[in-house]
Amino acid sequence: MSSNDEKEKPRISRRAFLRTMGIGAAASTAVATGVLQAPLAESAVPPKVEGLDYVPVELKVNGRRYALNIEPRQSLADVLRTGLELTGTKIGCNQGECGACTVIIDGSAMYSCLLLAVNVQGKNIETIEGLSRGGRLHPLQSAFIEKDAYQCGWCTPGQIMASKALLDKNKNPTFAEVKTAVSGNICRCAAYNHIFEAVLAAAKKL
Amino acid sequence: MAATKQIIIEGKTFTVEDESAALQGQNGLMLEPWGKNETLKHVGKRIPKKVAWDKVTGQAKFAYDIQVSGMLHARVLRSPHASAKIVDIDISVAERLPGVRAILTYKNAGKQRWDRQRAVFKDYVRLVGDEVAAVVADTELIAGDALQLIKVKYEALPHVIDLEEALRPDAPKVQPYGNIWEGKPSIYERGDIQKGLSEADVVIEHTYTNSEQHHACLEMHGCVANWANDQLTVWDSTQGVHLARDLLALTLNLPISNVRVINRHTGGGFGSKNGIKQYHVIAAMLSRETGRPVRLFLNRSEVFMVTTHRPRTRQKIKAGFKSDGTLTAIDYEEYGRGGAWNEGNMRWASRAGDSIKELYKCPNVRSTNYAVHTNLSSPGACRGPGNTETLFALEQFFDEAAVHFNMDPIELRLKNFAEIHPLTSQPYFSNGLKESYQKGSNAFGWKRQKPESVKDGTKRRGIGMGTVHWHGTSGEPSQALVTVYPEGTVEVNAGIADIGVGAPVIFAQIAAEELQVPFDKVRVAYGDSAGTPYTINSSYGSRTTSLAGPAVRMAAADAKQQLIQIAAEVLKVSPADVQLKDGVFITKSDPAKQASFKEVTGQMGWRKRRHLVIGKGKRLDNPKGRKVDIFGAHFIEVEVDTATGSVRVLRAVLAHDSGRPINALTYESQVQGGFLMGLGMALFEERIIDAETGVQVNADFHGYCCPTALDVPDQVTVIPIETHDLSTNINAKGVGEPPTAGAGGAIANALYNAIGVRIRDYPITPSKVLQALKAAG
Repeated sequence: MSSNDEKEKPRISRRAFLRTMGIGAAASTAVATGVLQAPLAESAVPPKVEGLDYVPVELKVNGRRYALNIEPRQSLADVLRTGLELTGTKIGCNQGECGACTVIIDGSAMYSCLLLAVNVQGKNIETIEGLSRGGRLHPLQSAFIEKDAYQCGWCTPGQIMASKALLDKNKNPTFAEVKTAVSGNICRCAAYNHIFEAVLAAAKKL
Repeated sequence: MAATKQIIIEGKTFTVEDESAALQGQNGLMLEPWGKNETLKHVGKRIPKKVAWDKVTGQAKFAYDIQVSGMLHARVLRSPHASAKIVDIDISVAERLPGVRAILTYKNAGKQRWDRQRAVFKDYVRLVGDEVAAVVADTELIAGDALQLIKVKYEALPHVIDLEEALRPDAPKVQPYGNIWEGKPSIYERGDIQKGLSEADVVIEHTYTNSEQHHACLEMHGCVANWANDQLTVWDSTQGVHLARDLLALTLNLPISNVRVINRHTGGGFGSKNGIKQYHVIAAMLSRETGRPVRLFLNRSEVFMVTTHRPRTRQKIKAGFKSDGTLTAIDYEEYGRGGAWNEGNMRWASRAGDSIKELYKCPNVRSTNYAVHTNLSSPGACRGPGNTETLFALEQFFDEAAVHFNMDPIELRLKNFAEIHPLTSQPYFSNGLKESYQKGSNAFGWKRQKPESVKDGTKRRGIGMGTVHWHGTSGEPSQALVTVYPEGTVEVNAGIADIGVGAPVIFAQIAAEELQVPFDKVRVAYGDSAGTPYTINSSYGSRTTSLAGPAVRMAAADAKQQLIQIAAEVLKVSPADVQLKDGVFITKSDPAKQASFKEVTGQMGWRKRRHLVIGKGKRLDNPKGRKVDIFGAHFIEVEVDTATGSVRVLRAVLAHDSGRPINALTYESQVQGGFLMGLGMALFEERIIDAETGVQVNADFHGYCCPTALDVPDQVTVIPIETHDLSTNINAKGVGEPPTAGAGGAIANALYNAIGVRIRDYPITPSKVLQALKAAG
């Protein structure tokens, strides 16, 4: 952190904006430590005023439409969790590396921490909360329970959504296809072998 | 004086305390441990966890998910320097950013201490990531914006990062007394090391190193704190609600009863979420300052840099053997990279060596351990702390010795098998090591194979094995409650946090077994320091089951005894004449006279004007004079590509003696998961620190490689070795950490068997494999 003479008005540069979003590994390091932090650019960006930047968005989540006001820089994961209080979508890194925030968008598994919520309007967003209704579980959810395919459970919604994206397209996957489908989802408790078993067991029931 | 008995091992007689000492409960209650071949209805079965539904539906609320009305969000500004004085700090711009509620720095934060040595905010920093300021704002993004607007003027000071550099006489001194923690090594010695080495026919010496493994829990570290009217409530991602509560009270100078820590689900801990860290105190300070609940969670790179990790170590093993492979001496020396602060966590840097002293029979042993200060965050307990680092070295060393003697590696280990615990000279309660070797090798199809004998193009395959060793608990105070409701349902009340391994399901199984009720009639209350008994301070040491399980069983037995009193009234006989059998209260003298469980429980409650039955249970010390150790053996096959240097573990057979597995399903998950974390440490994982700046350059999941679905073997076979352990009333010893400790040696040995070259520096990355192959020609 340098102590150069900046203008006294609070300013957020584009660079600072990117850092705050945690895009890329180096940038996130900077957020944590102040390392690599350049002096704030004296750009033409106006002072940030609370609420002023908020924009209306409409999101289609689990078949329901939600209208809300968000900051344009908010990720989909952030909006799902804090705006819609759908905290089943987890955040494990907030920079597109761990897969805990995996949701299904128009049929494909995506990291919701890497998407800006303003950019996914009009798309079909599926989260873990959309899988069960009235206490009835999706076969994947039942299989994850039965096979003990998790321990701490933080990665579990992401694992299940990644697996669902696979099974939605491929009802009869091979062992290798299952492994590949969840390969973007870190399970630190390493329940991988039970996850493979659960996905294959669920496929049989679909 | 408790009853004693005599055990004879290798002609020696040991007088030990009888098992009955540990099994005596309150009010004259006696609990026999379950019999060796006793078939149980719930215990030992494959039963999914109690929290399963919450976790697969996304309904489970972790601390990270907690949103409290009025909640503000905090972020911490951290030092970019490895050592510096803070000349000035200017928050005047940042505090004017709309949405910012408060900023704390050393200038305005008062004298709140972190520990005896230092305040939470100081005018100097000792490592990259030390706390410089904290901002609380309406949103996390605004708090992040404000961090950019704080101006800090540092005066950089010399620092040292590298372990070897820190040991040089001219290295910058991290602490006034120098860079060796407390100025001296910790030394253990038994027998006569020089005599032992001189009696040897062969002396073998090798040095092994390991990098820093990070816990990398997927739920990041943090909490939500609400400090209102001298009552502090904290929703915390923790391994133990009671320890976190105790330490918060101590640090903030509050009565213990004024602090409440809540956590129902923890997204991974692995040793890194025991007790409290600075962020707990900062969140509490900011809450007091603003009068609002404050959420403070670290981001991923902060987690990597300022929470703890397994220490980097350099371990030298020098051992003397007779020509038949019998050990005569082990001289062991370890240097562990520690952090900048003189704090309790430094002990983890010099914690390795237990298995040197305790695993194999050896009369002459010396262990010299140095914890070395550097300008980094302190290490901490990381799954199998000490033993994992030791066994990664020792089990490769034993393989090297077996090659020297041209012996089967199992044979060399059996040659040095310890019938009695070498450190304490006590017999074991149970020891399944020999059975682990036998059943594991059978299941694997173990047959010695010459190095470099299995080739296919550039691919080489090899097999390897290693021993697993860990400590069981000697018994700490543990309490639990069991409440029985009029409808016949049962509630276990236990002061634990569920870190994911399934303690609640295990408690429910134990209570269902003892009270002979269907499993689904039992629920478990836990995860809140208010209203739960002190069941465990924190879940570490692989001991939640073996500490709390016996207390739960005792509480259920106490409840059963009270129910028998009520049943006697219902049946109009004396309590001594009543027994609970197959879930029904039966009169012993007239078995036709029976009362159902619900008939008896229905006598309680406000309608019947009778108190509910609340069974109280406690865990007693283990019977004295014997040792509880946990054993196992890992068998591995790897494939190495000599063109790329990549190593793949093809299959693993893991035989584990943990006493009686209470839940066969969660037991399997724990052994597989623990092994795979060890696989990560053996092949991929390391914190890479830039020595020039003290910055971790891979503080993210792209650079720090945890095993993924594509890195794990298709087959990870778990073989429970069920020893009949009598240290507690539930026969269980523990399983969480040992599978990690056993992984590295077996993998490295299989790699040697594949390519005929040793790599003694973990993680064994492709570049190290290629370099080693090149050096070997």
